[in-house]
Amino acid sequence: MTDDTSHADPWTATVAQMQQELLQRWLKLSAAPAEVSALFEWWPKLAETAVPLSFQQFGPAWELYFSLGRTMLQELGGGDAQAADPASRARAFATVMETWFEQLGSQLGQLPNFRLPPDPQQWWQTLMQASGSMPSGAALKSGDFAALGLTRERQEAWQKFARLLAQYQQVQTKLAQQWIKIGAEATKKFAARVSATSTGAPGASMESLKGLYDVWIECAEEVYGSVAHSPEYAHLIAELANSSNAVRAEQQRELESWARQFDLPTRAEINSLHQQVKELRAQMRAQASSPSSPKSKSMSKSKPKPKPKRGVRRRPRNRK
Amino acid sequence: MAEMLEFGRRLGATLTGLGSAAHTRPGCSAKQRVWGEDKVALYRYEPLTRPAGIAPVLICYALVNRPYMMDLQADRSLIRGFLNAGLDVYLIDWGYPDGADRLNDLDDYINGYLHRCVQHVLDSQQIAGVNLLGVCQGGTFSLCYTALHPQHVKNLITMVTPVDFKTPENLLSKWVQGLNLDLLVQGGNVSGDCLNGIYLSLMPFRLTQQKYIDLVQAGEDQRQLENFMRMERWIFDSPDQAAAALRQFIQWFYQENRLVDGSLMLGKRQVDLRRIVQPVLNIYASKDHLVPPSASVPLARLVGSADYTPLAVDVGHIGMYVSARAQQEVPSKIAAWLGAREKPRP
Repeated sequence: MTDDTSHADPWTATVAQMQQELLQRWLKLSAAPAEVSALFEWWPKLAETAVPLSFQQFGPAWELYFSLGRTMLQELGGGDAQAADPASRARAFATVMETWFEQLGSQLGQLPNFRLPPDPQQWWQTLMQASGSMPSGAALKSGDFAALGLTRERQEAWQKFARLLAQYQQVQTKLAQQWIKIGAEATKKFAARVSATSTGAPGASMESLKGLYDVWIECAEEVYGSVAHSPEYAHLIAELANSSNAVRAEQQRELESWARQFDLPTRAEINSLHQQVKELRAQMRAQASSPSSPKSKSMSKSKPKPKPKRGVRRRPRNRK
Repeated sequence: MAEMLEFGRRLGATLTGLGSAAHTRPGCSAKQRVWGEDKVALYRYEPLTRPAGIAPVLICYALVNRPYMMDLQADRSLIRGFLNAGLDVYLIDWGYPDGADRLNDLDDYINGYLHRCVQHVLDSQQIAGVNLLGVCQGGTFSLCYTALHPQHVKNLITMVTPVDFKTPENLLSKWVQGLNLDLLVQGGNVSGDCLNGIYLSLMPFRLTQQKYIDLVQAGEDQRQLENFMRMERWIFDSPDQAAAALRQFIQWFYQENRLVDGSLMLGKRQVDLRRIVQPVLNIYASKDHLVPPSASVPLARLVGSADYTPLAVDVGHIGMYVSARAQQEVPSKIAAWLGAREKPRP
């Protein structure tokens, strides 16, 4: 370990500081064994600091692992050590998992390239009003009322957008419910497998936290695998993608409309230009490869036929 | 108790070590850019030993990840294995498509860029056919190319290549069956992050949890941390996918399985795998969760070649590129297979 905190990188400094804190806690351990539990506060405390975004990848993994550690300590090293039979330990671990799954369930359904703001309806309503495409005081609602008058087209667009948002949020909720179900099944499986050790059946070892953790992962993947392959789950995943893409398409339409108001180039215009360039390039390529083209003629006159390497088959001339 | 103390100690060391390993770069073998068009580049690797007298190998990698996985580091490089076997190696780098490439379709990639890469190798080497090595999705492209231009391919090697896209083990395939592709590509290119999210969802607990805990368990070795960072960089260094090509790939291959039923058309021509009559070596990973063996194995009955060799390697999809077993087995077997099919020179 290093005690060099002179690096400009705030992450390095943070790690060094946390290591020093950890070391201090270790030094106190012999005098106050109860402080062992403080070890597991290390990660959450670290996570609160401004760590680089990339490192947050580790967050959920380590948080779960530390949760297991905390539970294990309570079961094995706490005041009620007598009660720490394999079955109760398994139940305690299962409780940790259930809590973790409930938290996870609430975060699901956000696709990486499509993140909605916390209150997407309000967020878009504000944006539309700021851009002048929606009068202030109007609300984004997916009612069945007929759109009438000068702003008829706009009203319909707002209704559609509000409806799509609601659909997307419904699918997110359905997915979160699936995950909570997966979590419940996985924790049951995990508890059963851990309990099996007390009866001598083949299963997990309670001697190592890492071994226990690996069993948990194995159980969770098994349960997830069986659910993920089901037609219902596949349908849900497709529904999630479709509903989020539909919202995204409406957002895009709204932004394009805004851009047109200010005579800014829109994606639709750029697409048209790309299409034209593509067609022109294809025509040029076809002309260049045509036997009657001047380029082909001059090349066929000036370029000597390549002499094939010994033992290598000569190439036929039918190129694309 | 001792384990937790040890874990805490290792975690600190891992975090510090990762900071030092963060700037690790992939790639180890010297190469030259010999051709390019738009964002596509063709590289030729510099030889490491005496030529084996085998026609050059052109590697056609997938669009969905970066090809440097084939040459990650000195002790994890299939390309280095090929070079050590005396092979002349070319590699296609498709680049990072952006909005200007959204209209690129499969015809552009296969009959366009790939064809012109092959032409460059043929012209510069003055030969009639290359040894085409297609990897993953690039293997599917190579099958299409060989079926359409059989005269330019001397031998075909496919590696972890999906052929039958609708087998029961193929989770990815099940998920995309209900996808509305009009909506998918309406927003333009599909981001690499989105694809990565889907890949992680195939085994979420192992890929988003366990691998980081395992890292701490094994993470005091700085070399291992550097290996990890190279892999991590590769996994998440995913180019966006050109909208038109991705749409066709999902619809024609995953949803309609056209390669298997012979209904695939590219550039107004039918892709008939029975037209592949040259020797075929089909390498697949027996523990592959992305391209399950059941997706690769059916190639045997679909090609017209009388010289078909399957090769199962006991690794996963990623392991095919970086595992010690693959490093040991794959380059030497490919070189031997190609060598056996090289006509003796008079």
